[in-house]
Amino acid sequence: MASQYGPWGGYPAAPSFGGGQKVGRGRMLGVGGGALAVIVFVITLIAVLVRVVPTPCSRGCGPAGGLQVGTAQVYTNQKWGYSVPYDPSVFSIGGQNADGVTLNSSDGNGSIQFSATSGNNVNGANQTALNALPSSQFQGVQQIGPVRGAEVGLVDGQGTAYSGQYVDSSGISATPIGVVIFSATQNGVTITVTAFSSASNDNADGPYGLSIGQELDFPVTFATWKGQ
Amino acid sequence: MTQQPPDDTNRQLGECPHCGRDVPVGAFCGNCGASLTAPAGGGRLHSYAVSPGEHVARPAIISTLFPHLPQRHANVFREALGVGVLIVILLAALRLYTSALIASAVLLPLLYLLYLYEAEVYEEEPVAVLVATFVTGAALGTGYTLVTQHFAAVALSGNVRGPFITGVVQPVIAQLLMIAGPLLLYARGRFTETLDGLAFGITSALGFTLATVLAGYWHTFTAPLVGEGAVSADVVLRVLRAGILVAIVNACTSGTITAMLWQDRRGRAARRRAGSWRGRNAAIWVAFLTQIALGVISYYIGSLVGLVALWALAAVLLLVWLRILLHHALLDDATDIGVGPTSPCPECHYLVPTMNFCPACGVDRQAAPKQRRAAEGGTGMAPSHG
Ligand SMILES: [Zn+2]
Ligand SMILES: [Zn+2]
Repeated sequence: MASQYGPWGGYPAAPSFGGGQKVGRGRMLGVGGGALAVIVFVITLIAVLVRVVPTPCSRGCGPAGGLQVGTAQVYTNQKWGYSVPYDPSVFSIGGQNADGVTLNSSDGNGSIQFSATSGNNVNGANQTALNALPSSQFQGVQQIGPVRGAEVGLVDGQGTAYSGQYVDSSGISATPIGVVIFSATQNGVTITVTAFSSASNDNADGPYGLSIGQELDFPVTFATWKGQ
Repeated sequence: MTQQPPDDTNRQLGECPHCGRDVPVGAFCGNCGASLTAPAGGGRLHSYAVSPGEHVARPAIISTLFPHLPQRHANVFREALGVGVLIVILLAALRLYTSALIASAVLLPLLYLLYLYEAEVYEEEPVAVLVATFVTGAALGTGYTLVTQHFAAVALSGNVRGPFITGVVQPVIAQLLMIAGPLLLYARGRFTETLDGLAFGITSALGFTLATVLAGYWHTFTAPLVGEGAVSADVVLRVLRAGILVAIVNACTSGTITAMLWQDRRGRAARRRAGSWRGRNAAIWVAFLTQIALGVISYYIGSLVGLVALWALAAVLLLVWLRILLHHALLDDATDIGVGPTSPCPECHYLVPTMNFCPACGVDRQAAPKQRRAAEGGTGMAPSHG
């Protein structure tokens, strides 16, 4: 029935139809663009002004942890024959497989993971551990520098410290974190340690920006290799 | 009942095969909105009731979340959104990550506030509406983030709190908080249109999301700058997801709930459909289940690229779902108000009789800017006082 009027029904166009638009291109650019610039600038400025400036420090700064060995529980890995002692008031086992164990800090402030593999490729093991960090949660991971004095048990190793953010699964809350990954090798077995926690601005207590750096020291230092 | 517009005396009337009314001839029935030229015109899925040039199942942001904008005005907002996203990417490429994140978080809320102003969705009560929606949403978002952060946990193997808390409980609480403010307006009963409910839900969700991003990332803004700041490829993805994809998803789920609550109160046809696939109950279930599914899957996804793809897919599907609901809600909302005086259609600019739908282009008059409808003397407006 619209055929005799064409597809639009043959209605006449409104004469000089204009106005009524409150936010045109000019105002969008001026008000919208201006507000965006001002908000971004002001919030960034505030963030920079209250930013904490850290002082450099290497691993092991500050007093050593005072844990008594006697209070520790021990995780023992059957496949590779190593053990990791830990203070049950500080850590609980968050997961384990044939190669190793993950100890989660009881206060939810970090983890330390031990994982063993055969061979003596320390750098390869470190790279594997770095790649294993889930990219959805570990974001903006940036290298800080080598872990000086890295050792597992009493075996010297090497590794790298990183900074980054831990983003929870909702994606709307991020926590600055420090991550250290290092490996040591002995008798054809390489043990890799991946440790991270929320970042610390206090370098005396938080080597590499790990707020639970001291707690992490104990299982790493007192880990025992096969045959020890 | 069908008095002729005085300045269009030659206009013929014809019977609409869908509603049976005698309506002015045109491409669309001005009474029920059915297409009179398409073979199966009743549902008119090729022609979205808010923006008739677009298919209903088109994942468009502006014509879905900003329905009161006529095409010409919508283009300005479309350009602004595109330029805004480019600015965010540019800031991230320049390593200004903090600025990029803030810009991405502010972009959609800012555009939406400009939209509320442009279309005068709040009518004569801008302060009350903004306090009940945007300010309440932002305050609840800040509180929600501070509380969840207090119990925050970081761990290598999963999350200390487990998938139930982070994947189910938290998203449900967040979704409830996002619609809390609009429910205050619902209780007052001042605003009665389906698109009012939509705008309030979206505004509240955008305020909530803005606050959670700023509060949730605040201590990363102020954290010490360590490392060499090598450009990491994930920054742009991370920023776009946190600021924009999450905002679109939250706006869609909250807008769906509030739009259907508002439509339901209009009674009549809507209440009969409360239990159907596009009724109020289905809309609420889909919104909450989507938030839960996203929470649980995000908990288990290890890859950032996978996470961004998941949220992008969710945003697209939710936009289409919201459009389908809105389209049918607007067609259902039409009540028999007869043929009003001739006035220019805000969408197509033809001089047409004022009815539920423009007989020329088919746009729903409910989707016109409110001040425009008021200037036309109220004929063709849905009743806005309950
Ligand atoms: Zn009809
Ligand atoms: Zn029109």
